[in-house]
Amino acid sequence: MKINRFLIALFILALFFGLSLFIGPTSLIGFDILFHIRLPRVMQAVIVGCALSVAGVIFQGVLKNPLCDPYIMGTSSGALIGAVLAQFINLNQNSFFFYILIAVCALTATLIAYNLAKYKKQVSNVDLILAGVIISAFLSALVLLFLSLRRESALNIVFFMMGGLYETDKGLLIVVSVLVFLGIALSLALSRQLDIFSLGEEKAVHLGINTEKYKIIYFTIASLITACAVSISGTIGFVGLVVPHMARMLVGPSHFKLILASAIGGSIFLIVADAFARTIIAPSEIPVGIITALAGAPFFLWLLLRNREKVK
Amino acid sequence: MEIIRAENIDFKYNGAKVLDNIGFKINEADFLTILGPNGSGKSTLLKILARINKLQSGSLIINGRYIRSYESYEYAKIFSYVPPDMHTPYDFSVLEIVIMGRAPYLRWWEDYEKEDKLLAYEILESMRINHLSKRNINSLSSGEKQLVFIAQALIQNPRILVLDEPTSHLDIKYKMEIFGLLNEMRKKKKITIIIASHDINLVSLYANKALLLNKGKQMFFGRAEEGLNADNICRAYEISDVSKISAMFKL
Repeated sequence: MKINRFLIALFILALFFGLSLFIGPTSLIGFDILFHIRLPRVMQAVIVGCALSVAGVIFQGVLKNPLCDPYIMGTSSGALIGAVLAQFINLNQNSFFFYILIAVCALTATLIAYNLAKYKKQVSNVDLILAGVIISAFLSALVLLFLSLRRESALNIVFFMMGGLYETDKGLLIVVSVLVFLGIALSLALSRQLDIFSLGEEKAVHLGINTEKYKIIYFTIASLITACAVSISGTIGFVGLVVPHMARMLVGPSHFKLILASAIGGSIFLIVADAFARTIIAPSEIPVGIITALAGAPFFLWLLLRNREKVK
Repeated sequence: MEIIRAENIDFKYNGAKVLDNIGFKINEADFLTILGPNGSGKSTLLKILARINKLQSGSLIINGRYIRSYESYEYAKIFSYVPPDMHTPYDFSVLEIVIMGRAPYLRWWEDYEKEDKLLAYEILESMRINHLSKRNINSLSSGEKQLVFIAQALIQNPRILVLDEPTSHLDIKYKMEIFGLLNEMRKKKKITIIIASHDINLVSLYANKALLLNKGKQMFFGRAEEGLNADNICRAYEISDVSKISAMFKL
């Protein structure tokens, strides 16, 4: 029965994938548009959706905090500043170091936010969100500073900040897909330990988990796949928050199922959001990050209110 | 057989001494109760034993080895800990929670086996809570929840089981049940039990060793029937009216 449900989810994903190939600003559908423009773009939506959702699941599990996602934690902003830095030193987008730089910046931002929030060995939910906001605000200011210094590359960076699925190099897409796939596979392999983390870090210690080691591993996986997503599509917010919650309602909190469900759900979510983004004001289009934020921010508010009740 | 030997344990937190020269020895299948007012260092001491707090000075030998010499998973095979109240925002089922106690026996890539599941059912049954196995942990009462986390600790198959105020929010029925169960496990499996509690009456029924703390200092350690008298309790809790205390607790 479990396998059936998984197959149904995959089928729905395939359905959306297929449908969205035929949705776009032009109704003239030829081979070129279908295979050279739409297909890579939908692929991109799948990869970015998977990556951000699974990163969200990992953060929510490790930190026992249902309000986390890579956008809120500052991971995305870290990756963004990495991309800006790359522009600043004229690093080619196709070079290997481009990824390394983005990934390192993403991980660093995450670790700084985490350590800011840590007090007396405890990390409170609210502190973590505040720390993420602080990091994001600071890094955004840096990005804007760079924008005012280098006006000629401004447009490029503004698109990165808004987050959208634009044309990317196919080679890049393949590299990123492989990395995201590996990240998700590794997080599936370590999902049993993630279950234990979601009872709290102290409980994980009592159950014999080397928490310091695992925390670094999980943060690295989450930051790396976030960095992958950001490097091809900029910062798209709230995917990592909305999708894991929906998935948890459907399959429960056990992380093996949750990671799979979130990967599929995240793909569907972003495919649909992007279909809206490119048709709503056709023939021009709006960045998909705006759609996800419009949907995600009220969702975040709802979560906050619900959690407040739970704490009482 | 000696299972814990603690000598000259000090613990400082931000320069303030929280524990001052604590030392005790207990044997296999002992039932030790740690008593003292709030802020006396009970939880700090338990967290040192649970390796949440690092041992700063003194020596602590657990089951014949220095506490620091254990790997995380090794330690979890002989030592389990039930915190005062457990909360998780995620709706795991009782069975999922209990089975997590098998984690120290698995390598990182291994998943729970059928035997682990059977073991979980066995423990739940022996605790007479198998009817809860499919329930969502967050739908249980605090007493039932506490029992589930005790089940999780027991499935670790520990030599030492530590509980920090396990009965503080519970009514008398659950209190009796939990203590009765722990005592049964102690006799059957020779598990050493350590409990920090304010329920002086209840622990005096079961404990054979007692450790009294006040402001981080050890007021008494020894046999429970010697230690749990009105004088000692009054000294530990800084109460002046000895006669009332002895009437209250029938000591």
